[in-house]
Amino acid sequence: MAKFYTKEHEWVEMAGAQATVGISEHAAHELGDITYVELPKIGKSVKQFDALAAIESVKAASDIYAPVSGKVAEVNQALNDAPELVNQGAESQGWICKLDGVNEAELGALMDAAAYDVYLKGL
Amino acid sequence: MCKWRLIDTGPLEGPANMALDEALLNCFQKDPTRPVLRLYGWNPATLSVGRYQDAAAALNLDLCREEGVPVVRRMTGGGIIYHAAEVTYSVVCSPEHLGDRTGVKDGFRKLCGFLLGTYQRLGLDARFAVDWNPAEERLGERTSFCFAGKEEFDVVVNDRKIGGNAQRRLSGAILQHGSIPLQNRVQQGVRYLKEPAPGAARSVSLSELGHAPEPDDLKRLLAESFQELMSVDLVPEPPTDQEMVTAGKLEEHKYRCPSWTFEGRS
Repeated sequence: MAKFYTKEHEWVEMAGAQATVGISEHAAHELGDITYVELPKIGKSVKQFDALAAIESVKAASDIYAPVSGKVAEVNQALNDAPELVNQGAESQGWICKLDGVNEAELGALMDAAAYDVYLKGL
Repeated sequence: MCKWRLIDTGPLEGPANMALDEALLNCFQKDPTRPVLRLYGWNPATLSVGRYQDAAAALNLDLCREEGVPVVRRMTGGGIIYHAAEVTYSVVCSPEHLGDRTGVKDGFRKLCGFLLGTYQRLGLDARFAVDWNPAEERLGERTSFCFAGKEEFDVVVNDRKIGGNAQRRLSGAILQHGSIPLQNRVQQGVRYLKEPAPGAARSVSLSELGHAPEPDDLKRLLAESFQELMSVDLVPEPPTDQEMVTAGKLEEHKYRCPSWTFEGRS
């Protein structure tokens, strides 16, 4: 399944009605060394583009926004001990959480990989 | 030319300072047309910890209590700062106010440029750490004490770090605040740390570099440099009633609460 991206540099990948969420490789590179990821609580319900989690690099603390609405089903506990996983693979082992109950229609408000590339070139 | 607000609140207590910075950010999010440069100080001297730091692990809180040194938690990242004998700034703006430099690193370079300009106005050879000796030194090492570590866009004079800066990014809004040390109080600050911070001895202040400006003169230089580097007009004005009400609530219910200060829970 393809990834979709927000303007705030989160990504989402669907598997059935469950979505895996993280920040983009571009965002991880921009943030520099990640020192802390504030994971959401399991069971938390979020609306699309609401604050979902937070991430801190050596200097900047940034909110992470939900690319789609849903309920937090699973969080990447490995980030508690190894936040640098986000630097090592923001779009693979550095995923943040999984959301249940996602409405795929909301993906229409996001960019696919090609559109996100164009968006990044325009920054 | 874009107009920015210049808010000079003078020295305040730590919780009031951090509450007002967050209030400015919150109110700006609702009306992102009026970016802010705020200048202030700290009275009494205060230790601030970064948003996600473990205060009890990093600080000797018993010694802080014994000596009556207040501790406050910032909403921004970064390490511990002992705020004494310094002028502090905060900037609240949107990524668009930084031109096309909307990334974190470029944003830091743009926003810290006025600090470089200020030090250069004093005749100091100030540069970004990344431009000083990029090949030989590891920048961005993790350290609990802000002045002990160097980031790419920290300002250095003769390879010694001067001041420190930290940022918080929300959707469409940025808060960055930082310190310009008039005198070096780092050795007093490191007494409150649980672990040694060897790099701290390399930090430097204006007085050690032969400059002893009055806080008001330094503020004037900062404002002049900011206007020039950011190509904006600064319009002096006080915080709005809404900002003061918001700050009052944040001070009472967040920044003076032990759950926020020591555990990071609000």
